[in-house]
Amino acid sequence: MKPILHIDKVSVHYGKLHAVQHVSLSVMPGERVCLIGANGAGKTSLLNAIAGLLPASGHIESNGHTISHQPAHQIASRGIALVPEGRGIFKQLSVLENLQLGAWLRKDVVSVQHDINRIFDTFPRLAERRAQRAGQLSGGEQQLLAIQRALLAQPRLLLLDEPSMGLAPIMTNVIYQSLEQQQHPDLAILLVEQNASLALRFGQRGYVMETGRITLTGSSQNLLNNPQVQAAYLGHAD
Amino acid sequence: MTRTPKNVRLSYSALAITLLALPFVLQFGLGRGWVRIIDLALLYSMLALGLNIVVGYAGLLDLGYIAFYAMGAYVYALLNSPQFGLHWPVWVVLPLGAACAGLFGVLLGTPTLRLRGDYLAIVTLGFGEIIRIFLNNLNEPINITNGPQGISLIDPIHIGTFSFSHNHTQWLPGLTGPVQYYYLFLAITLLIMWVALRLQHSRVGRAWAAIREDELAAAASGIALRNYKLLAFAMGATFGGLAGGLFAGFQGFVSPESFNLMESVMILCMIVLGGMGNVFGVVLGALILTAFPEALRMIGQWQLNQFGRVVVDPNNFRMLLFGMALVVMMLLRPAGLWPSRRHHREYAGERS
Repeated sequence: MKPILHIDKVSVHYGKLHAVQHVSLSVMPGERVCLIGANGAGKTSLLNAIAGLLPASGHIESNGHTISHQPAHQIASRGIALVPEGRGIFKQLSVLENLQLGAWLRKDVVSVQHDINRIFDTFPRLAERRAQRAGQLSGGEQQLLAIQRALLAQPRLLLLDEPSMGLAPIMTNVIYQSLEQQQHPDLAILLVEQNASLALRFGQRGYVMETGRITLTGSSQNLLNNPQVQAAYLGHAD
Repeated sequence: MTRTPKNVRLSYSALAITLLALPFVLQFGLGRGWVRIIDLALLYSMLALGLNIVVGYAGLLDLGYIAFYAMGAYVYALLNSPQFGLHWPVWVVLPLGAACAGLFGVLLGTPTLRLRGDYLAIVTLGFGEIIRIFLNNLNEPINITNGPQGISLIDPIHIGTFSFSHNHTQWLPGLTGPVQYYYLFLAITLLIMWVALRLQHSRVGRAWAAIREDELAAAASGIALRNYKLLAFAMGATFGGLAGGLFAGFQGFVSPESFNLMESVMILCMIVLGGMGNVFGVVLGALILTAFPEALRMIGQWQLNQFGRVVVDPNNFRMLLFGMALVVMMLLRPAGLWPSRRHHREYAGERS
């Protein structure tokens, strides 16, 4: 089986600042992988580079196809969807328009409508506000909308950037539940989180990123038990 | 009044009759000059509608838009005047001017794709000035544009032997040149409004809205930024070029002077004043901002009658009032006189 995402020695520069340095990682179809690390470790830069929103050096491929140096919309058409940091919803557009834009690349109009109706059935708060501008939703609802919008593209890989950022714990639970309940068994997820315990409980494998480099990798269980990870990211005392 | 189908039909009929009767009423009531002003207002409406696609729909701030108007005007002028002795038919020249402008829209769009906001504004502003300066200096070594003197004796818009500039009062009393242009420009303005409305509610319009809101999220959703931005530039420029051709035929004279930066700014003001993104608001803004300075000319006459001399130059007075009006507008109706639903939400914030 070919990995849905395989990146080899990818680097991202902002001028002289090296945000990501020679990072390699891979994600298999249907797998949930998390990427943890402190603020400024380069996690967001890496996700944006994968999605084609940032220029990067190195090699990135998906399902055997090279996707590095391709424009973002072509990467999206390869089945890679990004829920960007800060959600990236279209705030002045309505909730419904946001969802429709998520299905931009799909040609099957009827089943798109069907999928949108299912989202409205599952999340009544979104249904109530379908005609209102998305900026009026609460932070958690915006995050829900952003994730559902990305899922409407029927991706094979979902790149999630800090879905719990700025949310109350109860809302974070709702978000993660919605991810657990999504109905695409083949969907792979690459999750970036600062909240390491949350991320490691969600993912099967994890990578730890520090100042632009991958410093540790392993199964979630191993990482949760790793004293270094515990000290640095899980808030356990030595 | 309730919105029963009958009432709606009634108001549409009333509007249609008003629009049809307007030039005659103006001509007999206020004089032929006012019909010309309305003709110009319709030309500006076309321009504002074109720029609205770029600025209002796609959110790309273009300060050099007048260059496309100039291009359409010069294509018409060069191919329909004694300058080269060419007299091509209108139905070739007008589309050619529009197409040329559209092509230059893409040429301007391509290098500026990565720019946003104020950076884009500065580059487009430069583009507008470059075109004007070109037109100003293309009289040497080979005389193409006749330089600052401009091109005169341009053929009026004509279909077969019917010239829009000639009076046809023998057919109908009051059917003068300006009145005939009025009907032509009105028809084209309505057509452009229709196209703009269709675009706004199409798949393309939704892509533009997404790009305007969040470019990166739009790209990540699979929208090809380059294509849609270039399409916005090209569509806007095409309308500008068409209006330019009509202007050249209507006016009979073009010179680089008519296409300065202030004109670009004025068209942008029409959009902002009327209501960015809303087709009807944009036309309203164009009508007000074209008619307003003309109405103010009367202040000069009034001063002359009152004081025996002109104390304040109406032109200065115009800028003063215009500036004040814009400031008041921004305070009271920041989304424009007739805002689009979407932009209104944007400015009203969470209260709406």
